[in-house]
Amino acid sequence: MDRDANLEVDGRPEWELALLGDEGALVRLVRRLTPVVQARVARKLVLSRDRSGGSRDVRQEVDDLTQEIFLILFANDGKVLRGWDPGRGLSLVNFVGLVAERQAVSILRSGKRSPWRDDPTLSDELERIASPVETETAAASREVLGRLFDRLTEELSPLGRRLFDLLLVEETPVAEAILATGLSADAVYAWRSRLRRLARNLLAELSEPPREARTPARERTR
Amino acid sequence: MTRPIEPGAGASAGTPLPGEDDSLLRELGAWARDRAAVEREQLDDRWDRLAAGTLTSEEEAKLRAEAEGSAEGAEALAAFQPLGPEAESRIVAQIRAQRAAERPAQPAIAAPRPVVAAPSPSNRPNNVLPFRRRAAVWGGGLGLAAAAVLIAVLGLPRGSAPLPTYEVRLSGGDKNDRGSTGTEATAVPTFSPGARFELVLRPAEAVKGDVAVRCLLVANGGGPPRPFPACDHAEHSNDGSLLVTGTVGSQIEGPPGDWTLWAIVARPGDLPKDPPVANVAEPIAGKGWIGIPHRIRFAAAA
Repeated sequence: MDRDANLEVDGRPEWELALLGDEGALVRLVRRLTPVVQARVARKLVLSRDRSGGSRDVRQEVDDLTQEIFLILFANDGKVLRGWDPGRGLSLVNFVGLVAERQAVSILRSGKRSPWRDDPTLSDELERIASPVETETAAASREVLGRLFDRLTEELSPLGRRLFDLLLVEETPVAEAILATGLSADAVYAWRSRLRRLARNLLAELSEPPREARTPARERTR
Repeated sequence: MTRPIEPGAGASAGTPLPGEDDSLLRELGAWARDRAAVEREQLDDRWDRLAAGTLTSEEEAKLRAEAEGSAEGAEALAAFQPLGPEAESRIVAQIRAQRAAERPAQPAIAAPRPVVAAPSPSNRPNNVLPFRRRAAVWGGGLGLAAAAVLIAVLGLPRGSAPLPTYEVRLSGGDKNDRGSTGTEATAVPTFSPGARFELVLRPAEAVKGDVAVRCLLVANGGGPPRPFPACDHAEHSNDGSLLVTGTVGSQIEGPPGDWTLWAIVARPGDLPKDPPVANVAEPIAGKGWIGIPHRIRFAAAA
């Protein structure tokens, strides 16, 4: 965990002071978080870039997206930033990095910010979605999996993404995931179920005929 | 009911519970694992450290040498080169503007659009702040400057008349007091009694309408800001530039010691009563005002 991002001034975390309007804390926080936001944005841009010609200056895009993501972090009285819970095992820098990655994917794909979802809402939404679809097969192509992963990244909160990484990518045993996140065993299992339902439903969405509105955005990034 | 951790606790969470099929999740996890590995091959963690400015000079030189041979590498260099203080100041100003726009009591302020930085040549050092050079209003005395440092911040959009970037130039002072190893950006301008003092605040673009200025001194060791009344008599130019000049000890009160001199520039009526300048070393901005710090030393009489 990075120590600097959790600095306290007079007993209050610096990020909280920044949200309360402390100018110095805001300046320091932006200076501390800019590298991680920039790096996550730069990765997405460089790795997904179509160099066939006519592209914008990548540095300009990094600059614009970095600024946009900071505005998302601080919008609505810092709602997204206030969603960081140090007890969940993510440092502030890593939390912000996940937010940056999610928003970068969303903005690059659709040109829109990804709406912020609190985790309980995510669960409620998924409960209303239809049952597993028949398109889920082991034969899902790598191209489809790539699109599915991007959509999952857009949909998940930083905690959800953290659990996806822990449980599915790193294949961490549940006991370790509990320790890493501070969640209960029930909560970890519930998250796995949410992830499963979300993946199925996003796969179903991707299997539908492309919508007119999405075509240009996808072409822009691929 | 609490689900027992065992035997699940010892197993991968990718293992489905009875009746559950995790094949899609497992496939997706494996795909993400593979992609992460491929991405790390293409862009290893040195790139993150480049953005953070934590590479050693040797590491950075090696990375550049590896990258400059290809279009992809050159693009990555441009993308990961630290955005630097100019971008950070712009971000801070935009956050402040967004915050102001969100306040229901101030509906006149529009929500900000991302500020688009001016395209920059790829060979420009990123920590050099770009200024538009214009004909100086008070250029004559600046050529004699013994100490001149440039700092800039973005002004905060305010209604239809935002303040632009301001350039600060502090000159005059003791010519022989600059460290031989110091740079213009790091040397502390020192002013002894009798020295000429000249402070110029110049907007990057002409400012329509009046501006006001107020200066404060904050001791480097801490303590409350104290007034620096010389700025109360600043000369104003038609384009929004401000000039404070005089002789230290007679026209300019300079209490001995190391200080941060804050120049607060605002629209008339928007000067903050108590700008939050204590323990801050970076430019700041508030609603309708900007604050620019500058290190300064006043020497005691010999």
